[in-house]
Amino acid sequence: MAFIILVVSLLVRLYQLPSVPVGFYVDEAAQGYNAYLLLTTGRDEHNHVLPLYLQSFGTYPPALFAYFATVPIKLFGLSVFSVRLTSAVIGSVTVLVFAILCQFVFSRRSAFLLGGLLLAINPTHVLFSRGIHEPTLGLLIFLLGVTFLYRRCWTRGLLLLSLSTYAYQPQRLIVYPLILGLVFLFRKKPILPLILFGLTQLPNLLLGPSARLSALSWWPTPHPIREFLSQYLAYFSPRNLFWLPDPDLQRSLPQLSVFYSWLIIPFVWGIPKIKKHAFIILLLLVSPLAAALTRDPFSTSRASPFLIPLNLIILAGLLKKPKLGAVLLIISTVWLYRSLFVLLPLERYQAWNYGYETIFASLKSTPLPIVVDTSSGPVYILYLFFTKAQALPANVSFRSLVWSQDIYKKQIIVATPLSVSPNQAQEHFLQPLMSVYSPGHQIVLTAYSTDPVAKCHSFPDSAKIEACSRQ
Amino acid sequence: MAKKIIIFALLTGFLVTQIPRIRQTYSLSGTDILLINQRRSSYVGGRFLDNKATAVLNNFMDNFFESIDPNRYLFSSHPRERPDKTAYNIYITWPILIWLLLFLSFLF
Repeated sequence: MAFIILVVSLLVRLYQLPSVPVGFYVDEAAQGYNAYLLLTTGRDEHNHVLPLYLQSFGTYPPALFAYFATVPIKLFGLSVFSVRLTSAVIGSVTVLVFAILCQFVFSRRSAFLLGGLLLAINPTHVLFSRGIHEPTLGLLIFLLGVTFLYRRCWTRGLLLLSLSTYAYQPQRLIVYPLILGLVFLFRKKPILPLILFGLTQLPNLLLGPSARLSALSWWPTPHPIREFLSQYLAYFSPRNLFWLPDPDLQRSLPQLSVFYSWLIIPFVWGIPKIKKHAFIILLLLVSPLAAALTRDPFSTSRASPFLIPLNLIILAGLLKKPKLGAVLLIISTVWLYRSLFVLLPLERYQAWNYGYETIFASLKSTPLPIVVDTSSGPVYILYLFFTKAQALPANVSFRSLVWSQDIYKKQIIVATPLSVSPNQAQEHFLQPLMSVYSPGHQIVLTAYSTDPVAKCHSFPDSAKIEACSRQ
Repeated sequence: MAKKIIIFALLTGFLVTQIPRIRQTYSLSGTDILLINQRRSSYVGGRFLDNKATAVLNNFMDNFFESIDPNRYLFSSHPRERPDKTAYNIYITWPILIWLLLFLSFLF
C-alpha cells in the first residue's frame, strides 16, 4: 500500500514537472542558483560561506532547502527540473509520512490508503510540491516531528520540530506554542529533550532574521485584538478552505481552493469525531498562528502545517464511507488536471515569471548593453540561473526604465507590455527585436532595440540639440 | 429535531444574506461568458466543465460559501474582509449570527 501511495504521489508531482507551473518563479531561481553556488563554491550569491540563511533579495529565507537541492543539481545539472525535483520528492515523502500518521491516529488500514490519497491529490500540496519549495520542506520535517510526538518519542520529535524552523521561517511561531501545548496536554516534562530543543534553537534565536516578520506583520495597529481575531478566524472559514483560491496568484491554482469543494461534507462529518483527539485539536488551533500575525488575508504557505489537522478531520469524515470517498477523490483528479495543466499555464503565466528563459537565451551573446525592466520583481536571479554565470555581465543591468535617458542610448530594452506599451514603443522609436508569447498567445515580454538617432531627429530644431546631447 | 433546526437555520441564513445577490447568481456578465469561451476551447472536455450551467453553479456556490463564512458575521466591517461592503452587508449579518452559533453548537 505504501508503494501505491508513493507511486501515485510521485506521478502527480513529476508529470510535466519542468513546464508546469509554466515559467520559473524568482524564489525558485534564488534557491536553485544558491544551491548551485553552494555546490560549486561553498558560498551563496552574496559570498557568505555555508550560510544558515540566504541573504537572497533581503528576505533571508532559510538555506536548508538549497542544501537539499544540491543533490539533484549534482546529478542532473542546474535546471528547472533539478530544482523542482527536490520539492517533488520531498512532497511525495510527506504524503507517505502523513499516511503513516493517519494509521496511527485512526488505527485503521483504510485510513492509511485514504489519508495518503487525500494528501497525494490535495491541490495546495501538489502545487507546493512542484514550485513552492521552503514550505514543502518545512511541512515534511514538521510532520515527521508531529508523528514522533504523537508516538510520545519526545527527543526525536522535538529535534525534528526544531529542524523545521530552519526549513521555513514561519514555523518558529507555530512550533513554540505547539510544544507548550503538548507539555500541558501530555502532562509530562521531558527535561532532556526540551534542553536539546532549546540548544538547537539558539542559532535561530541569536542569528535568525526578524525583519521579515516586522515587514509582513499588521503590527502596530490601533485594534490588535480585532486584527488578530479576524485573521485567525479566516483560517477556519469554509469559504477560504473549500471555495476561494489563495489571493496570491503564485500560490494557488485557478478555480481550486485549499481543498476540493465537496470535501466540506466529510469535513463537517469529521468535526464531531475528533473531539476525543486533543492532539489534533491542539494542532488545529496552533497551525494558523504564524499566518494570522501577517497582513495577507489568507496565506496557504505560512499556514502550511494547517494541512495536517484539516486533512485528518476530513479523513475522519471520509472514513464513514471509505469506498465512496476513494472513488470521489479519484474523480477529483479531473479538476486537478484541469486547473494545474490547463488553466494554470493559460491564466497564471505572469505570476510565474514566464518568458525570461527564452528571452535571456536569445540575448545571451549580444554585445549591446541590455536593460531589463524590473517591474516584475528581482528577475536578475533568473538571468544568473539560466546562464549559470557567477556574476552579472557588465553590459546587462536590471532596473526600472528611465525614459529621459534610456531611449537616447543605443541598447536593448527588455520589458513587459505594462512597462512599455505599443504606443510608447512607437512614440520613442523602439524597434521590437523579439517577443515571447504566453500559452494563450498574448505578449509577455518584448526585447526592443532603441534608435537614438531617429528619436533625436523627431524633435523640432530647438529641442533637438538638447535631446541629442543626452546620447 | 436538532438536525431540522440546523437545516432551517442554514436555509434561512442563506436566503436572507443572498436576497440582493440572487439576481447575480442566474445572470452572467459579458466577462463571465468571455472567460467560459476562452477556457472551454483550451482543452478536451472543456464543454462539459466550463459552460453556462457550471458558471451559474459556481455563482450559487460562491453565495453559499459567503453565507457560511464566520468572518462575514463577525468582521464584515473590517476593511480587509469586504472592500465592497454596504450598510446592508454590515448590519443584516448580526441577526443571523444566532444561526451560525446554533450550527457550531450542533457540530461540537
